[in-house]
Amino acid sequence: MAVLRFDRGTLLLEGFASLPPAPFEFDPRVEAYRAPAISYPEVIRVLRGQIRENRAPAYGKLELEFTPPHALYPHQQAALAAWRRAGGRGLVVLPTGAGKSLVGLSAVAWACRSALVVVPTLDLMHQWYAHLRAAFPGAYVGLIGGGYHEVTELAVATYDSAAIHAEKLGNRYGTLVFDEVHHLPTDFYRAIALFSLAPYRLGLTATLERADLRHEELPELVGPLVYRRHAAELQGDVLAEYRIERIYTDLSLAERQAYHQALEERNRFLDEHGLGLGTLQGWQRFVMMSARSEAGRRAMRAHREAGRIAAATPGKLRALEVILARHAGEKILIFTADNDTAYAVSRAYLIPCLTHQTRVKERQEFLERFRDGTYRAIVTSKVLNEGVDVPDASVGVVLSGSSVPRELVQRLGRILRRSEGKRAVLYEVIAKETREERVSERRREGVRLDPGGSGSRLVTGGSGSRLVTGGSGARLEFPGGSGSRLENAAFADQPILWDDLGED
Amino acid sequence: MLPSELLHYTVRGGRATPRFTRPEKGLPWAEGVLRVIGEHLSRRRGELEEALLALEGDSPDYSLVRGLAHLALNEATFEVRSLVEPEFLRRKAFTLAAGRGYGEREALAVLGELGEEFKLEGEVLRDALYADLPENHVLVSVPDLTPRGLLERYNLAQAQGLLYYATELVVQAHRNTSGQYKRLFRYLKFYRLMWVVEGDLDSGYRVHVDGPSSLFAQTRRYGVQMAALLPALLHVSRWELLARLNLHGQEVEYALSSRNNLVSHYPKPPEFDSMLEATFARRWEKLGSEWALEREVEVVDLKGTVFLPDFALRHPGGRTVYVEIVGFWHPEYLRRKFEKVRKAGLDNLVLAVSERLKVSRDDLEGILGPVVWFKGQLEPKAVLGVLEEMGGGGP
Repeated sequence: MAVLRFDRGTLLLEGFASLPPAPFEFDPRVEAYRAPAISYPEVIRVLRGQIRENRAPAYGKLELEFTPPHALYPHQQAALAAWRRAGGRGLVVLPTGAGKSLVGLSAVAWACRSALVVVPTLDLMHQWYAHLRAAFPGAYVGLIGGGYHEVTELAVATYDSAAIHAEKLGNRYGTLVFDEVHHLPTDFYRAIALFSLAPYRLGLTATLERADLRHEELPELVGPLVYRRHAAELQGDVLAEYRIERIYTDLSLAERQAYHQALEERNRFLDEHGLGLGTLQGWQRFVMMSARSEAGRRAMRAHREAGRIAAATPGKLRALEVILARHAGEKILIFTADNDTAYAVSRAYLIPCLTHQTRVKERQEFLERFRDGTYRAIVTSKVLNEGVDVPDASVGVVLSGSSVPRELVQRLGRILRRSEGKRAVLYEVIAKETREERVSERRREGVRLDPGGSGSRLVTGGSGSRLVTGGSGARLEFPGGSGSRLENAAFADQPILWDDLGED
Repeated sequence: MLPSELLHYTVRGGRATPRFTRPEKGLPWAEGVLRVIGEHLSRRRGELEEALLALEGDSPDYSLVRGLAHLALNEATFEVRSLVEPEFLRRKAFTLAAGRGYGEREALAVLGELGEEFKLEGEVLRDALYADLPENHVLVSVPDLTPRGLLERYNLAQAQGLLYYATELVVQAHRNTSGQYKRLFRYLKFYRLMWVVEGDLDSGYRVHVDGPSSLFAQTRRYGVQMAALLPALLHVSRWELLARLNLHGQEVEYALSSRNNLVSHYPKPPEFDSMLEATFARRWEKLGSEWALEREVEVVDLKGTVFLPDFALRHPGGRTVYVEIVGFWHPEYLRRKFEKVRKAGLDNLVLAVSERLKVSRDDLEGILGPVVWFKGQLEPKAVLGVLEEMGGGGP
């Protein structure tokens, strides 16, 4: 009789008398039949009663005492019910601040299998660590990544570490929770899902769609989209109201001259070579040409220099100082595009600075002290873009940023957690008459966050969505209505009633 | 190895070729990079990096300079140096500043207050805040590399880099010694790669390399492991390599061989696996037998593992007999070794087993060739005796 084994991200079937059914394929390298690990639930179904020994899974039933921090909100209950109805596989899309973690914790509790939570950053790793320890008292929570390698029955791993060790982790977990699941569909990270036996899989995100459309691989890797709610549908319930203010700063005369000089230098090169930067191809050609000659190298350096002048103009620091004074006593998050500016702000005003270089212990300390009010501001380049809980901040300042709409949504999400009577404000500081004006336009095209009066609403971070303004509020819709790409079969929202909790 | 943005290659007619840098172009840059690093001993990493940028200037060779610097800095050491422990200082400064309110003047007051406490200038403290950032680390030891050695590493890293994109690899190895083959397969196993071996001793062996999940879809999953294999392959005396790459969605081929004259920085494998083997080989030479001892042996693919006998004994009459010496081994290793010999099914293999091992006749059940027992050293004459019993050297 046959034996089923796990072999480095695949299933090996040895000693099977007849030809095994798909997805098994003959592997001449070892003269046995092999199937991808992700097909494990299907394999078990088709081979039922035909194998003597199933040595594939190294995970077990996990008896957990579950003490959720609070009762699930209706949208959390509905998300969980939808996921369970889909057989414990699927994607849940909720806006930042809507309590995705509790949906994940509940899924781990429901599945009762060794569970791995996969997260994109070390901050999120420590946050999930704290959540898991609080929700499952008595369970040991392991960490995989950030200097740890504890492959325990309940663990948190970074995408990087989980992908590096995918061949070894694949049979250790029956449940996978992917936080910020839009990170998963890359050639390297896919292996985490492909090489795993886990029958239960949950993907969580606020921003599902990827510019490269690879989110379309997620149903195969994790499961179908089972539940989606936009911020507009939850605002007032969970998220704070907010407004956006743009502040323009002037470059000094010297800066303006340097800025234009740099642009002229670059444009001369562009003209000589018939290049335009209006399109992605134009930009790529510039990158290519600039690598080939000294003149090109100088032009590229000039291009960067212009950007640096606009991003780091002392005028911005002065604008920041005004904002800091205006909101004295409030909690403020300051965002920059690059580490240098973040450290410059930190040195100038003695504000704690969080970058990828900040070590885990100090990050935790900064966030804790920000939470308890010892610190009243944090400046960060990119680390707080995603997912980390920063409660109570009511003021956000974007000193510089990219043109990616997702980034703005995520930055805004940082200050949108609801608390009694809270009104959030996000400042965008823009250097006037520089390309920052266009960058700001472009990132808002994806989200279209016009300052629609005091009550405008952030609605979603989906690509190609648009804002509909009306009265004091604003609403965001997907283009093309019912015919849009988002509503194809794989990604259709299932009709879910708020009170329908479903039964197992 | 180098990050992919520092790789240089050309793609023409479906073939990718790494762009190697010739000494006349590369050596002056390598010399410059090492000199600049040397000049920055006891100075900040940020300063060093700026000096390296100044060295590249507006030269179109900037990528070469950065690649050389990347590899050289891997061999250098940096350290945090500060009068006040930076994290401690930050905690103090940030707490005071938050209490006072955020502003330029408030920050100056906080630094002044701390300056009195530490007996240091306020601005010195401002600089000390981030003494632990990598850019503020201090260079404490310089790489132990010559310009030529650095350039050799650079060219090897270019050759390795294309393999990041490999979906499969075929290595053609010609008449190598047992030790060289063993090292190659040991690395294949170490990097968790899979293989199929074809061919024979005279025409050489073709080793097809990929990974477990390559069966279902072409994947670059194993590319980095394949790249790490290359320096080990360089120690195999004669080889050719053909890789299939998925280069940004395009399928291309990539060929390399021992004629590319790449230089490995991995340690050379030992000539013999053990003293037992070395002594046996030396004493066999003194015997003056017609049977010539050769280290080029047959590779027996056992589907998932390989069997490589220690020696081949070749007679002018055309016969070849293999010798495998089993000396001092761990019991589990021993069990696997016998399992391998059994699976290899060679009837022209002499298995020499030390009597010190707790091996019973039952353990040798199913092994086809003769067994020679030995105490201490394996006597060449004992093996010769067995060869004669096997019918001598004729065909």
